[in-house]
Amino acid sequence: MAEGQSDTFWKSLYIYFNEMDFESQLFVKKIYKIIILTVAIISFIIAFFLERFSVCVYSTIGSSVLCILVLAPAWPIWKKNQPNWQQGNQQKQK
Amino acid sequence: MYSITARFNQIVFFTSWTLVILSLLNQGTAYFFKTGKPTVDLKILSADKFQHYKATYYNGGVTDWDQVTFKFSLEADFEPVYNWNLKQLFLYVNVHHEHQQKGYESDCVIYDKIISRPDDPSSWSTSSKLVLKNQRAEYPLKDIHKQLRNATVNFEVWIEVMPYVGYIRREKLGDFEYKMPQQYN
Repeated sequence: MAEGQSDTFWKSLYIYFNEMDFESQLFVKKIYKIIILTVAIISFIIAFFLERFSVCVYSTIGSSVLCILVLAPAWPIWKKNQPNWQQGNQQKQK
Repeated sequence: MYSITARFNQIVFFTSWTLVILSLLNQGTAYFFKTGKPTVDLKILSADKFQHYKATYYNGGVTDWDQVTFKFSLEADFEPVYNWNLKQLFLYVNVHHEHQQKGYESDCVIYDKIISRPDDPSSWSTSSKLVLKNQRAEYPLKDIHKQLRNATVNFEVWIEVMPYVGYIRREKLGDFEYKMPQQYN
């Protein structure tokens, strides 16, 4: 997209939620697996003693929905460690 | 993890994989539970409307047959079959009769019922025992060879075990013999 052309509201909203720091990307990549696996294992053991498998399925899906809402969009928490961009070359704009 | 769609994709499919593995564990651990054989007792109370019927419309070449409607009482206890992988049981009563000289045998289902687990919120009963008293069979027994008079028929009680995850299997719970009346009534 050429510079100077303004983005629509929805496009700029998408760009806002899309861009995430590199450090928080690493953090998100580790933590969603930990959350979903611990919830799955604990609810499986609980459901084993209650003899209802639906407890396990619903809690696993609920934990994944929670992860999607918190970890997938780039909330301000995940934008704290911005990389240090270098200064642009001013001569090219002429 | 560099875009929102990539993060969404990874979370969704990781959840799907864990659900698949949990379902397999669900089916696998069910084999360690008690899976015994339920006890069942069937008594035939009467054979009603045992007559020779004639067709009143074109029935594909079949013009007349023997027909009988049974009344029975059934008692069963399904506690040995319940485990956390069981969704429901399908109970059906099958009548099997053979004719040695003419060389044919036939099966006919006369009654069926769906039984869900008693601790399931949507089930009808709260105990694992089933008691049917003076129950009329839903479907009549028909014989187009008209050999039912004085015949020995075999009542079989079958159960179809339907789990949440896994194969559906059928089990025969019992065999009960019954001698048909000599004449039509």
